[in-house]
Amino acid sequence: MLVRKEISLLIAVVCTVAGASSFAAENAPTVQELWEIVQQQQVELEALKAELEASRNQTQSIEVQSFENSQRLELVAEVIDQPNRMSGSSWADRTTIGGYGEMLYNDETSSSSSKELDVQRFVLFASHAFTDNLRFFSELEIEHSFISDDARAPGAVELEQAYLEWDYARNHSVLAGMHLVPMGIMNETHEPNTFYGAERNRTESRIIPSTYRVNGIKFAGQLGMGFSYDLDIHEGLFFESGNGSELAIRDSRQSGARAEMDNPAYTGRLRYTGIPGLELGVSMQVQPDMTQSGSTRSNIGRDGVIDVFGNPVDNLGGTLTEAHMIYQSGAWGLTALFAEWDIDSSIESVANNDLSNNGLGRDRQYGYYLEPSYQFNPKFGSFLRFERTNERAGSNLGDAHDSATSRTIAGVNYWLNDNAVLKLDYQFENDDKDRDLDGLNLGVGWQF
Amino acid sequence: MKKLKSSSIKSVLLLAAMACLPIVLASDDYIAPEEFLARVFAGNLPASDTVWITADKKEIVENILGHEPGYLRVRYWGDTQRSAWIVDEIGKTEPITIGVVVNSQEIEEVKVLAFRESRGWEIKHDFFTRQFSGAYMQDRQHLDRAIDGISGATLSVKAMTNVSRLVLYLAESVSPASS
Repeated sequence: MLVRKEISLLIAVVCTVAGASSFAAENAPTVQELWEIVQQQQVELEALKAELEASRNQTQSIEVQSFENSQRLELVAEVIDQPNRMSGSSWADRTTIGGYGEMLYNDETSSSSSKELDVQRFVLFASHAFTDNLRFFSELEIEHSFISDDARAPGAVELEQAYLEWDYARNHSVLAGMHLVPMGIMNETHEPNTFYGAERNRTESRIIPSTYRVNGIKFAGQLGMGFSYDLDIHEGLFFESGNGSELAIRDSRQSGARAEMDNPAYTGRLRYTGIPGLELGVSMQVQPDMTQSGSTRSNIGRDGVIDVFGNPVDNLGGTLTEAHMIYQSGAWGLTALFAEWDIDSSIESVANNDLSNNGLGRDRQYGYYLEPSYQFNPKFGSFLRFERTNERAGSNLGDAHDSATSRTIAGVNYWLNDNAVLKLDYQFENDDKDRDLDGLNLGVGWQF
Repeated sequence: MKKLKSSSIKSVLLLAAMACLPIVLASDDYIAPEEFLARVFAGNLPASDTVWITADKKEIVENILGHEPGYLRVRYWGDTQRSAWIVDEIGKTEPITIGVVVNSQEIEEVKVLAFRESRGWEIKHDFFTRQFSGAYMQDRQHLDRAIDGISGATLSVKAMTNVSRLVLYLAESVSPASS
């Protein structure tokens, strides 16, 4: 029974396969149909090849474009990043505008009219480089905020610098015009953010009469091994008897205003900066005749110099000698300076217009200071300054009696950034007559 | 009158003597960029490449310099091991051109190629630049050491210090370790 079932199944399968083969044979494509299929595929293949070729061309084009763009970018960047700014640069690139200034508060506790808030100076500078080795530099200053025809207005508008400088040999230059005398520390570098203390030190205000600016010609250069020199021929000081004149060095500056040139002065300086953090400097100024050959400058009503008998004084020569040291090592700093005038003794006979003598002790004047400092971090530093000055050290008679002044100042600077600073200090000042001028000084200063 | 004449003659003679000074005095020198590169690579100038100040670097570069860089990229010669870079940076008012050689992420040499400021010329001399030899970068792109300054030339010293930091940072950015 089982065998019969299997045989029937086998027959059914065979019949099915045979039927299918017969159907396939009847529906197989003809040669003609196959040829048409091949032809169609060939067309599609050609289309794909064309597309591939176009794609390749496009890729090549993009690559070329990319390469060209990269080259263009390179050229543009080369122009923008021009390393030598001075060649082919614009007028604006070669012109610099900047400035500095300071506002100070003084509260001298021992004086009745001591509390004062003053924009002591506001300076704008402009410089222009004609070429890499020829440039112009100028500074225009307003002191004490404003000027007016009111005699009480303390202000002044002053040209502080205006000179043309030419590098006539490598590392050597010459300048002509109004410039700062190369002496001391503060006279050339006095932007408020560069020194400690609200007020400048007295030695470099009264003995070296900073800001000491003159008309003249100055040569400067480097000698190698860290040495540099300055040699300066410039207008001399000009003493006048005047009415109640103090015959102070500071008041004798001509500051380039129709300066008398009968007797020009000569200044020389040698500096050594061959060790990082160290500066040593010595300078000397020779003034052949500070009366400018007895000039009376009648054209603008100047008085000249007379003695107590009313006779004109001339041949009043003098020499200023200065030496200084600056040393900075890490956080510690030490600054020291000494300056001294040696003036012909005939200055002692100089009188005011009323024939009262005012030159006593003026033949020797000196000042010195020592200033250690410590900088806690780039923003905060502290200092102490010990200073002594005497503008009538040549005598101990009359006005020259006990004329020296000593002061100790302790204070801090806080730099808001490299170019802006806040200052606070307290001074203990005593003169040899036991008068006190203690006081608090605050300052805010900037440079840009 | 006689005195005035004598004084004028003295002044003219002194001026003439001053003008002659450079002829008789020796002076230190500094070199052109091509000479600098030729010396650094002993005459075999390698290929140069540039580092672009891209967005990711811009903020760090500005922090280092304290202002926007003013250029799009910085060129260097050499490879990731030893490279020479030339960068311009303003001191007080004028650009100072500074060459820096970096070897294994340490400064091998710093050289001023052009100095245009009126103060701070000391920074171009070896007695100053040798302070940078062997310096490397610490955290936040600071040098591993304090650089002693020059009186009256704080800004020139700062410019050189910042360029050294910048070059160390850029040299590190192209080193294999950073990629």
